[in-house]
Amino acid sequence: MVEKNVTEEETEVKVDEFEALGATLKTYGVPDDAIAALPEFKKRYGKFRVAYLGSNVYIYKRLTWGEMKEITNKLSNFAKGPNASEATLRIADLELQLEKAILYPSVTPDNASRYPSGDLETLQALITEFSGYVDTEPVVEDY
Amino acid sequence: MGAICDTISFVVSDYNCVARALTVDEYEELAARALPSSQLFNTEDKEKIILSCLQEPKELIDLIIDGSIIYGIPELVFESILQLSGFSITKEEREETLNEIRDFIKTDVVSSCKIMIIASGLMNLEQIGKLTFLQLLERVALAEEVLFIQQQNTIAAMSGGEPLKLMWDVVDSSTAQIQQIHDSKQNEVQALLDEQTTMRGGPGIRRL
Repeated sequence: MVEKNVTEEETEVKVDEFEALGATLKTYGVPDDAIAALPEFKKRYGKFRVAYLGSNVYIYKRLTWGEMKEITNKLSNFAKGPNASEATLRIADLELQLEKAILYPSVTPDNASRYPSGDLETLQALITEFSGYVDTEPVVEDY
Repeated sequence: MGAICDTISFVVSDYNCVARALTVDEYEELAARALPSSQLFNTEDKEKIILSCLQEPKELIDLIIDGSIIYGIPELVFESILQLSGFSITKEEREETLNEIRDFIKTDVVSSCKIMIIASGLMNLEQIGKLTFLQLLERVALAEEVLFIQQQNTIAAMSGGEPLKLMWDVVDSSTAQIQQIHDSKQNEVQALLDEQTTMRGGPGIRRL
C-alpha cells in the first residue's frame, strides 16, 4: 500500500456545504456538471466523501453488500480465464471496486491505468474504511 | 481444551449478534470454492455461511439479504463467525496444534485432525464433518489418548502385560456420548486383550 497522508483532507459532506465544496472542487478542475451532481449523490447514496490526493480529487461513496456480490461474481468468472493469477485477480478486484464506488472521476477497468496506482490503492483503503470494514477512529471533518 | 460451545455471540457495529458455530464441512466447502487469492472468498458463499449461521438480530439478516447494507458489516459478521468457530486461528497457533499431533503427516490442521480421529475409531468422516473446529480439537485430544492406549495395549499384549485403562474427563454431554461409544468399544477390545494377556501371563503396565 502506498502511504499518503490524505485522510486529514478527507471531507464528509452535508447538504448545506455543497456551495463551499463546489468552489473548492472547481479549483481542482472538477467540471460544473460533476459539481451540480453533488446533491443527487447525497440523495442517492446517503453519504459520500471527497479525497484530495496530491493534485487530484476523487468523490466516492460506500460499497454495499449487493455490489460486493456483483464484484466477486465477476472475479469468479475472471478466475476461470487463462490470465487469472493472484496478482491479476487483486488488480481486477481493485478496479471493480473503484468502478462501483468512485463517483468522480469515472474509473473503470479500461481507463484505470490513466490514474496513479498509488491513488487507486489509497482510494481502495479509504472506501474500505468508509464501507465499515475497518474499525478506525474517524478522522474526517464534519461541518 | 475449553468446553464445547455451539452458539457464539459477538458485536459488530451496533448489532449484538448470536450465531451457531461453523462446522468443519461448511468451512472446507467454503475454502474449496475460494478464489486463488486466499482472502478472496466469493461474497455469495460468505452470505450463505452468514445466513446459515446467524440467528440474531433478524433486522441485520434482512438487510444482508436485501444487499443494501454497507459491505463492511456482513464482512465483519462473517469474520467473527469464522474466528469464533476457531477457523481463523493464527499460523503460530496452527503450528502449535500440529506439533501436538505427533507422528503425523502434516498436511493441514483439519485434515490432520480428521485422520487422527478416524484412526482412533472415535468417529467416521461423516460425523466429523458436522463438528465445529473447537469440537474437532476436543476429539483430537481424545483420539490422541485412544491411540496412545491402543499402542501401549498392543505392546502389553505382545509382551504378556496388563492392558491399560482408558480414562478421560467428561467435558460435556457431547463428550459423554463419545465416552459411551468408547466404553462399549473398549470393552470389546479389553476382552480381547485380557484373553491374550491371560494366555501369555506375566506382568503388565497400568496407566491411570
